[in-house]
Amino acid sequence: MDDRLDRELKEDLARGPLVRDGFDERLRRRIEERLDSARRSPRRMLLSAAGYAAAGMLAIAAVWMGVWRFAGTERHPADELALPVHEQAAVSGQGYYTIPDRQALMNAGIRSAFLIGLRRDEPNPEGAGVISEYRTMLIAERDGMPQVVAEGSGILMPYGQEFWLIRAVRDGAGGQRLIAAPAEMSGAAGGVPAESAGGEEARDAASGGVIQEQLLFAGNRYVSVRQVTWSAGADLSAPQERLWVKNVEMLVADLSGSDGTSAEESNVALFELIPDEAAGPVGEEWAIIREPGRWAVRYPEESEGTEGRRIWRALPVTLPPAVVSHDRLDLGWDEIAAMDPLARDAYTSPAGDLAALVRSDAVRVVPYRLPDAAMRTLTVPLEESETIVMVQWALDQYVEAWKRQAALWLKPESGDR
Amino acid sequence: MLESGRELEWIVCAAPDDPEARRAALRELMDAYGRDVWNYAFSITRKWDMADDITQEVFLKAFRTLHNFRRVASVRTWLLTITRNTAIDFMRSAFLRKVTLVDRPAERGQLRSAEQEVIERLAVNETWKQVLSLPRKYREVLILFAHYQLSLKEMAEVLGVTEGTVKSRLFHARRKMMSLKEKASDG
Repeated sequence: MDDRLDRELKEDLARGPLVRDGFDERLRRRIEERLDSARRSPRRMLLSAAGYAAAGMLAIAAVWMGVWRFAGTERHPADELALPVHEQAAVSGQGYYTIPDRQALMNAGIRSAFLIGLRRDEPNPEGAGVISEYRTMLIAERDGMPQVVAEGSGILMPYGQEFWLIRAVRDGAGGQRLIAAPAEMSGAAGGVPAESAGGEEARDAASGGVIQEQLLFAGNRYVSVRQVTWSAGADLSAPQERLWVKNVEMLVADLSGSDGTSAEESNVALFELIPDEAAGPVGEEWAIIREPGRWAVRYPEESEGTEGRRIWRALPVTLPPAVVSHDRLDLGWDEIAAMDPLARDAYTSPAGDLAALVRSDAVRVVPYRLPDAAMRTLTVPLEESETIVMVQWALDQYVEAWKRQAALWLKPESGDR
Repeated sequence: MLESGRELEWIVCAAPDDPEARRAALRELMDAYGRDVWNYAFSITRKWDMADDITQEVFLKAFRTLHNFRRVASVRTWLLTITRNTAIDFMRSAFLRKVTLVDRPAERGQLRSAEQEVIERLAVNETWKQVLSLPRKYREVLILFAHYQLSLKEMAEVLGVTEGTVKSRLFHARRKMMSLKEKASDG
């Protein structure tokens, strides 16, 4: 079958894609002219030299401003020395796979901190579907117990050696897209816009259809996105639902890329992350969703179920550390139930010192190795329909760096929360 | 015009510091690979104007870096690799330019329809239309395989991935094409 298809493809694609040649005399002349102008114009070369000099000055200025900025934002040398953030937990928590001695843990303080990202859905006031709001908290030790040390709107996601901010931007016509940018750009023009409605222009623009996106998971550099589309003029009761996994940078690309439909946007296929997995989706559509105690994979059946409902299959694979750097519970479910009978999900630190026990209405953060853990437990209320989309851990010296960064980038937004 | 890749490789490698000799080498390259470069740039971006700009940049880069060419790759693979890297840079800078725009859905819609119109009007056949409708990673690998007829090793080199990844992408690209062809034949 493949052979026949290959033969057909080679025959059909033997010529170029278009009936007209793109590389013609006109283009050839333009290339030659550009070569000529570069050779014949010493003045231009001088200008180029001046340009390079100016660029050099700008670079020096940028470095100087960078120094000033780092000083202004109290960035410490340790920040620059930091490993890619997603590797920090794994590396600094090297003792993770051999759980540290319990007595030693009991005598130690709290080594771990974590960023927790939450999504809250509510009915769309501008039409069908739902609109989501996001917030991120950094939970770290203060005064001997876990506390919320920073909180703000959007999802603040560690990525490489920096942090990215993901926001949901409403277009004013019932749609909502996820966009991302380095947190440092969040206040700058071209950075992450506020989560507000887009106004009249956007309303007109959205006449081509409505797209709503929800974040299901945010990891080291990957995000899982649910995308619901109402085509222009289509029945509002019959939206198209698609689930994708993307590199967070694709949320920048997709915002402004020329590809409009989800099928043409850039996505990460499962086989790219788990090349040896023979089962699983044929195409690029799959999702990372939360099951009690772990992040799991779902993919759609080839054929749709009855009445157009799609069937989502579980794929029993372990997501690689590139996606989920730490996804192992240090506690048994009986231990979790003993600490909180209402817990329905849980996360534990790579250092084995903190647990986040998730109830329907709260997250309880327990320093479970400490002798007076119950006294030192933090309870963070969850709003109705609020779910966790991200938990990222930092250990030891990285905790202070995260505190400084989170204080910079996590800010409440007026009218947002 | 020189048709033989081997002769071209010789010319490129032998192009000395003499600007006229380098220019002559560039002309030979454009004669032999101008279409290949433009077609690949268009296949990646699906935009005529961007393919023009990328092609110019590719040959200007080639002119500047002729001395860097080593016979570890064929001239064609070398040029296709430059084309791909340049195309990705162009698309990335296009993202940066547009990211500040508020009216992105309108812009997206216009661009898409303009691209589709060119492809609809000028595509050589249905198979090309189908290939160009695939996500980039699939259409690229199919085009390198079926149009340029590169080896697995060469495809991996151009795409900057392992041969295993090329195989995986080809496998999935074929399945997508089969599915598109089945849909087309079902009417």
